[in-house]
Amino acid sequence: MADIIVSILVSGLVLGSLYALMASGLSMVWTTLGIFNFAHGVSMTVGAYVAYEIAQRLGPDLWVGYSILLALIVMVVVGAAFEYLLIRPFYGRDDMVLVTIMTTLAGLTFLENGVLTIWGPRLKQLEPLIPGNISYGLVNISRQELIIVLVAPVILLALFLVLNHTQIGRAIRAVGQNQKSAQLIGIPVTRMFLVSFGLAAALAGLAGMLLAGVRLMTPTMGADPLMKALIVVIFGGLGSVGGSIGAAYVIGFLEAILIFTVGIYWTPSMLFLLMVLVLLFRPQGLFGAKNPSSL
Amino acid sequence: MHTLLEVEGLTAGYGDHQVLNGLSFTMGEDENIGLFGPNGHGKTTLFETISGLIKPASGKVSFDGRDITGRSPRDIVEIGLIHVSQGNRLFSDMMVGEVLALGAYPRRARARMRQNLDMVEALFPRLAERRRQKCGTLSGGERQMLNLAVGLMACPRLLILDEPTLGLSPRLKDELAAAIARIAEGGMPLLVVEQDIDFLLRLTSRLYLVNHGVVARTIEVGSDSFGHADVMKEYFGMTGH
Repeated sequence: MADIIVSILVSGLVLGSLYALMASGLSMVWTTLGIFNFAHGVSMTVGAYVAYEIAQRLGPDLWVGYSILLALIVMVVVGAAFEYLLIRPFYGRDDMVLVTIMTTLAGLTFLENGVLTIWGPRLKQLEPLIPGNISYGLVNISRQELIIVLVAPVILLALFLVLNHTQIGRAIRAVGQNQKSAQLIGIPVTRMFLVSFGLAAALAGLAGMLLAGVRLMTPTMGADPLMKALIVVIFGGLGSVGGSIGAAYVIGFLEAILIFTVGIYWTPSMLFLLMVLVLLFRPQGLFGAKNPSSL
Repeated sequence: MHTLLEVEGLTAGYGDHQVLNGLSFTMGEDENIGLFGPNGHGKTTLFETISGLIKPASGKVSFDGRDITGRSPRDIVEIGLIHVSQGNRLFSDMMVGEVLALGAYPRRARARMRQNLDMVEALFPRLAERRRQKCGTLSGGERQMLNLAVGLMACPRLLILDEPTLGLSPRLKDELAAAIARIAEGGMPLLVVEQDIDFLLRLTSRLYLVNHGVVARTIEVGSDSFGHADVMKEYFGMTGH
């Protein structure tokens, strides 16, 4: 029994860390632009494949961490390009939210099939950052998973500090709350949109690159995490990056428990059922304020 | 006298609805200007066009000799023209201290952030007490103080105030008017829209009556003991008070 509990805890932590990386970016884009980015999941896929490609080019002698760093820079550019091509042409339109659902869905299809065309359907894997496993008492975890569990909170803490304690972070939040007031203090609004898209894509890409060291990569690997990130963002309360991060771990643990109790096939439906219940009884989300004045 | 702000033949509006119909006025470096006139005749539109939120259809805005017509709000803030808009609700989920820090966003204001913060907190001690409180929880008067303070954090060379005491109780109105008078005494050029003519008469050296999107009349304050009653007469065509 104890070993089961430990393995659920470990698996919940790993899932929660990945979902937190995904959901924080999704939530940040929602908070600043007020749109739901359907192409966010594919950023994860593209990140993993770009890191794979760079690792192939650099050769097997070089540590995979360098490829991941380079791929993260590429992802910032990819995210910024998303904003520039898929969102920017529609700013100021009354139907912007609806139009961007279509353009981000188009971006998703384009990139998913682009990955399939460029890299083919064959399963691929990225070298783990540090190979091997760690066994400590009842805990049995691969070193890569341990890295995921340790790196995610550090990155998210850094994101939190940037958003709350730097001028650019405050500016990103300000733009989400009141664009006109932000303009009047000299904040370049569209540049903040660009920055938050770039950051979000890098965060999702990082999740993909870390996951690709544990599981096999496929062109559709981002679809399921996007769905989970959607549940997480609603669970945590729309418009709260901190709430999303908390909810990501809750969902991660719930998923680990559900997989063990009701099995892998029923888990997604149970999670969606839970989301419906949350929306019914606590529409502001688990960690959302009673009165979401920011929306 | 050196001209600080010059507006020439400005036309602008929202969509097909033109609000400004060739409005012109000038403002010198060492003077405060008041604008008044009926609602819906272009005062707010004029300010939003000057600060770059609205692109003018024609006409010209120059600041300190530089043509700033149609420039982005960000460029205009960077050169020191700060518009404190009417009833600005700012950022409801951010703390007062954060919003003040954000006020120093323009490049030219960053180095002076510490001094400016001390200055605005001396001017509005109530904001210093509320530093860790969210903007959305402030009272109307406190929010208006914060609006002014955020404007001052940006190191303005010209401060444009759109009805700074709108909707406030008489006591708060006096408090805010006193603060604005102190800002003016510090040598800050002010361009103010107000419905309270007495307030404008005390603060400014010249008044422009804005009517139907143009400056309908220019009134030199104090030149020939021009008073409240005279303004009312000009404004409404009334003979008494």
